[in-house]
Amino acid sequence: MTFDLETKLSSLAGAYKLIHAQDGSWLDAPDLNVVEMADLFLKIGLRLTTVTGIALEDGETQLIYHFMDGGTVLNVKVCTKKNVIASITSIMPSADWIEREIHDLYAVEFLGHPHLDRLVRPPELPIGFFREKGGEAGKQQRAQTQTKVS
Amino acid sequence: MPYRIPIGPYHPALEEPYKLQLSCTGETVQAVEIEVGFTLRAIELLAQRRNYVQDIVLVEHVCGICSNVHATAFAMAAEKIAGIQIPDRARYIRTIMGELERLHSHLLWAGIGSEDIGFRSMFMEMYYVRESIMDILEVISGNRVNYGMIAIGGVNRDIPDPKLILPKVQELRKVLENMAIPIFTRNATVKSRTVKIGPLSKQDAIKYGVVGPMARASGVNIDIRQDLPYAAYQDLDFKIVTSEDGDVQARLVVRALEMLESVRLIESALANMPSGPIRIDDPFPTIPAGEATSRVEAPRGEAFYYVASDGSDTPLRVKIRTPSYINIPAIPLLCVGQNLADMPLIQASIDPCVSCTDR
Repeated sequence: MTFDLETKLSSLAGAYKLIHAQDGSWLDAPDLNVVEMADLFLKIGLRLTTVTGIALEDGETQLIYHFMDGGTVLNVKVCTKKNVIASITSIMPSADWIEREIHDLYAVEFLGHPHLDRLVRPPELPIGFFREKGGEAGKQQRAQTQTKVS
Repeated sequence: MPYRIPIGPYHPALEEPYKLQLSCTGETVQAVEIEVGFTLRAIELLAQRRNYVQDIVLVEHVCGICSNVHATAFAMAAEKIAGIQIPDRARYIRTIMGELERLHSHLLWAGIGSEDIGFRSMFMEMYYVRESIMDILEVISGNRVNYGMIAIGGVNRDIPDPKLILPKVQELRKVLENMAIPIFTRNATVKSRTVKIGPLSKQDAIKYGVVGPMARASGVNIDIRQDLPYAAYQDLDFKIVTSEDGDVQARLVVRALEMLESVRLIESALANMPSGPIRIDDPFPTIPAGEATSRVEAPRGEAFYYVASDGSDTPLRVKIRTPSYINIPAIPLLCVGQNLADMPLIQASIDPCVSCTDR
């Protein structure tokens, strides 16, 4: 890659400090305009690998957009507002299924998605099946539920 | 007025369920809609309910063909969080397992592709050769699929004697050089069914972000073994295979030539394998709080994992992006304007894995 990622990112409103880690660069930018981001990254040739959804305590969802190009890896962390965020499918068609799946499993609304239909679960089931705590908190929550049942 | 024709969920090209809704005028396909999700297993959700050791077994079940890839990618992400450096011998064993798995997957695909062309004798020959690779995998791991080789911090089993593997791999090289590649590239029947069929331009391949042999057959120079080398690929001078043609024939040839490169990598890894331990001393290392991503080149393309940890024995989040998940949505590009009778072969040419897609 022939450009300076940090200089390019400085043109994005809401983009904060870039952290370089063993597995690439991480940008924590909860208020980032993802449409502007997608537009810029398409121009500089970054390929969207996928988006990770993580359910937060307050009903919001953290979305991590994972990009790469050759040996360059960039992960951008943003946050939904009222569990809503703009769709980037019109800019990056590879986001189509990714956004539909996050809508299906995390109940995130992607504004401007051309057809935000369910992807992996039947339409008669409620959305947001994956909104569950992981790690130690998830273990404790499941233990409490099992105690109540028994 | 176009008529609509469903293909699947019971599929003519595959034994896995996904559905295509085709709109045709005469014999020509005008539009394609795809449905998946018939076998969702929610492995990502289950992974955040189990501990890291259980998760290695769980993620191996994302796919029956490339199970080792998933265990490798998951272990690599956990190792990055914990700052674990695996022993050199383990890096080589992971590479050999990854390449044997690629051979087994590409040979399976070559068999299915041959059957879809109507070339039954080639189908049987490819499956016959594939069995010898399955035998090697069984000799090493004790299993034909879901090998259980990967541990966080190394591998579970050693490859004590290269002589168990080398003769069979060298035999495969002869079959590929003397039979498979000449037939796939020169046979008139094969060419009549594959040349200029199911084209995907380089621009579309980049736009839709497709990966693996599907991207490389359209001239996109991407391969995780080259771009972000892991295991022992950096030591073995990996060489990427690409083609500019973008049709079914190009996908066939790229996979066939990739098999030759896999054979070379296995031979080189066996010849240069360092001695020493195969895993770190701690059998159950603690994964501290943190997060990491990992990428591994599966037979169908880049497999991506994101793992987040809170320091407990259970991950906070495990995200899995399989290669087929990004390749299958590009199917309409390959099908529009093509003949209805070519649909099974065009589907098969991207080697779609629905088990991976539905996770």
